Amino acid sequence: MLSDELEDEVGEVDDVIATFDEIAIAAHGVQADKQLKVRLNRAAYLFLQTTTELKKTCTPEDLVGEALLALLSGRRKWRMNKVDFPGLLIGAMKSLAWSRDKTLTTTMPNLVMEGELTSVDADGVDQPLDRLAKDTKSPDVILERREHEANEHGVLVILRAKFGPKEIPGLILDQMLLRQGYNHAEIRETIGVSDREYWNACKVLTRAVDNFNASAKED
Amino acid sequence: MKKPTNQDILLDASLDFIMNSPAKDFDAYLRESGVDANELERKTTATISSALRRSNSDSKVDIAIEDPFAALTVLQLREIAASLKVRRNVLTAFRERRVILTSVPAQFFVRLASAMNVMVDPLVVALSLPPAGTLVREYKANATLEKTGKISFEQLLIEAGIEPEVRAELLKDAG
Repeated sequence: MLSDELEDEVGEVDDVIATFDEIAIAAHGVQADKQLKVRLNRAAYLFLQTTTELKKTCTPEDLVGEALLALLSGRRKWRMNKVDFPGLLIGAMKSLAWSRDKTLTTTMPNLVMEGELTSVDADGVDQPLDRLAKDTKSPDVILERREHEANEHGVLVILRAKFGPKEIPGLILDQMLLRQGYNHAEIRETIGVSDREYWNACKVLTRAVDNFNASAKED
Repeated sequence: MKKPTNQDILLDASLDFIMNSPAKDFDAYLRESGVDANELERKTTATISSALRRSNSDSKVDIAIEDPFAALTVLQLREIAASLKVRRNVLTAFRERRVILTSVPAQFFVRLASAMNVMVDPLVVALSLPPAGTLVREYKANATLEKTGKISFEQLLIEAGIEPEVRAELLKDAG
């Protein structure tokens, strides 16, 4: 159910809740900002890359549109004193992507084609029906296994190994590992590089993450 | 609070870059990723338009497509400008769609719509259309504004010679 997809955070008394007009103005503001639209589309792409099932059926622009609709319909409130409109859209896209993916991974039947059921394997390898009976590929199992593998192998450590000891993207990853989190201002201050160097390193790092996700998908 | 996973941490870092990096770095990232920014922009524009339509705001767009200033007399325009504490050339800039809408405080739109006796949403839709280069000024503005593409609301007020105190008041809600 859509209303369950966007769990609104608990509000405070002095919160400034946007009216429909204010949300519509902000939406038109986004529409008028070419670069912001491209950034939002790419952010949606990032969220979809973290999903298992949703990315197969949902495009980044679909996710942007759905998040915007959720805000325009009032399903998610805009606390103007807490977050700007692009930040709100980002939060809505993340909630929608993860919520819908969870629904898909837990409700999608593990379909087996009729042709697969009748195939004969002379080598004694398990047939699809046998595999289905073991339920090794049920969405829950796959999800659990992937989470386990991600934590076990340590994506941060794998990525860190791609950079030299003094390379700035590597230093940023060192800080992420040390802090077990990401804080732009703190990490930049700690490694002591210029704004230009930092953003360039972040670009390299983001590309590395994209490539890592793409290769994980191929596996 | 749940401890972030490695993927969560990387997502935060990637999002920081995607949303906050300088345009030059972001464009370079898209190029290196083989992504066509124009294509992404086109698709996102279409989906936002669709979302706005589905939210019923497009029922008001038909009205907005028309020039919302067209029905106003010179006297009314003078009164509206006075009530907003701006000069008529500021309204002209809005009418010619030369103002960057994201630089305009929402409160100003609300006051402008109220003064024009129209709804905020369709007014903003109309003002967000491409600059109206063919629109002819139908009345003489109080002063001449440079016509050099879109400008921010603050720059507009400066060029229009709005006093600093009034300017500060009008920009008060700017994010």
